[in-house]
Amino acid sequence: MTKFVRVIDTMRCMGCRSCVAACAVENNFTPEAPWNVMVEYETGAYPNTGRVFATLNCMHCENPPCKTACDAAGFKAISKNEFGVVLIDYEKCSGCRYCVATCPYGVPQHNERVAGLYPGAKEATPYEAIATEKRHPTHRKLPNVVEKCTFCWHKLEPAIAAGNLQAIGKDPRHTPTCDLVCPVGARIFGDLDDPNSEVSRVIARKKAAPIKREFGTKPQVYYVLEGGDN
Amino acid sequence: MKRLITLLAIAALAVPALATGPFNAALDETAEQIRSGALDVGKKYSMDFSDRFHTIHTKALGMGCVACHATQSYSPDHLYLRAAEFPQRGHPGPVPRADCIGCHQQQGSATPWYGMVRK
Ligand code: HEC
Ligand code: HEC
Repeated sequence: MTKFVRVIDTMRCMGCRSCVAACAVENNFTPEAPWNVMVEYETGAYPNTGRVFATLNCMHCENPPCKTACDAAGFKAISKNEFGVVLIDYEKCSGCRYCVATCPYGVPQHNERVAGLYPGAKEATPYEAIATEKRHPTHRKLPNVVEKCTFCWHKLEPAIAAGNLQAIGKDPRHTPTCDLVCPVGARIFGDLDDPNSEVSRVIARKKAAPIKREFGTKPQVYYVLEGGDN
Repeated sequence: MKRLITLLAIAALAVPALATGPFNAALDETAEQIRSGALDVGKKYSMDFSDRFHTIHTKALGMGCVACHATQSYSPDHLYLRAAEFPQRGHPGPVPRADCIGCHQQQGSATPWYGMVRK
């Protein structure tokens, strides 16, 4: 079996936000609906203070409350595939936002309107003007639809189709872009079911754990986070 | 501004929050009536104040706005992707999702979003 997970080491992260920018470029970001966001806060009391940079993206939960709520409402727009990736089908999404309501991590973004990158610009940039049919389904942005991080499914899918699973997390073409660009190696992506993968080893060695475990959602993104989560 | 005043008016009139703690039979019963459709809570699935979500929690269950909506912003160390969206104009305030666990866990009265085993 293969189970894709990510580990984010907030002790290494220096808050540069390269991963935030890379996600925006890779995934046809539209303003007001970011998929990867950094939360930054101070810890401790003077003079022993610290600063935490924690990036948040979809946790691709084993028990995704977003999916349960979407199914209960009858839309069935959210799926979790055999590799552990949670995806939203924009064609089925009704924009009801029950996923927004139930996600404990604030991940699903209701894209009220597909806003342009330059406010007031008369024409879309060539990047924004890419035709719908030329985009991966996860990049076909629609108004009144909820979207979120896909673990860069458009990059994993070709490797899976080619039976080249071992490239995922190693080959830049088949690794989520946020994880590729981190200059300090604070993000690692790979297969948790392979005990020898780098991600498995880092999770074990650094005792990384998912956040907000009290919700019982079993997230697939692990954090090295001093002082615990809130 | 007008929207805000309306909201505040609704907030002031709203019934105080249901007591948490051991859930009573009445809650179980109302929950079942909502699920079976015996209690009419509307058909429009949406978070808009006039639609199902708020009709269920505020009218059918009698929860006050402050049972869910905190008046301030989220605490700076709250690990929540959309945290920076709040405070928001015309919005009664951010909702800490930990408040939902009680009713929406496996042993709760309502549909379990949390702590459930995937079928
Ligand atoms: C069961 C918890 C709960 C209660 C009780 C509740 N709300 Fe909400 N409300 C929510 C949640 C969750 C959201 C979505 C917030 C978000 O976007 O993160 C929301 C959103 C809203 C919004 C924004 C809707 C939109 O379209 O974006 C309004 C307005 C609102 N609530 C008003 C009220 C008022 C007024 C009351 C009291 C009469 C109330 N709520 C009681 C949970 C609740
Ligand atoms: C006092 C108990 C209680 C609390 C607290 C509560 N709920 Fe509910 N909720 C219910 C009941 C009862 C229902 C309707 C029956 C059911 O779905 O089981 C319901 C229904 C829902 C529904 C489905 C609505 C529909 O159209 O059928 C959603 C989504 C939901 N709740 C989310 C939340 C969220 C998010 C929170 C926290 C902000 C929350 N609830 C807090 C009791 C509660």
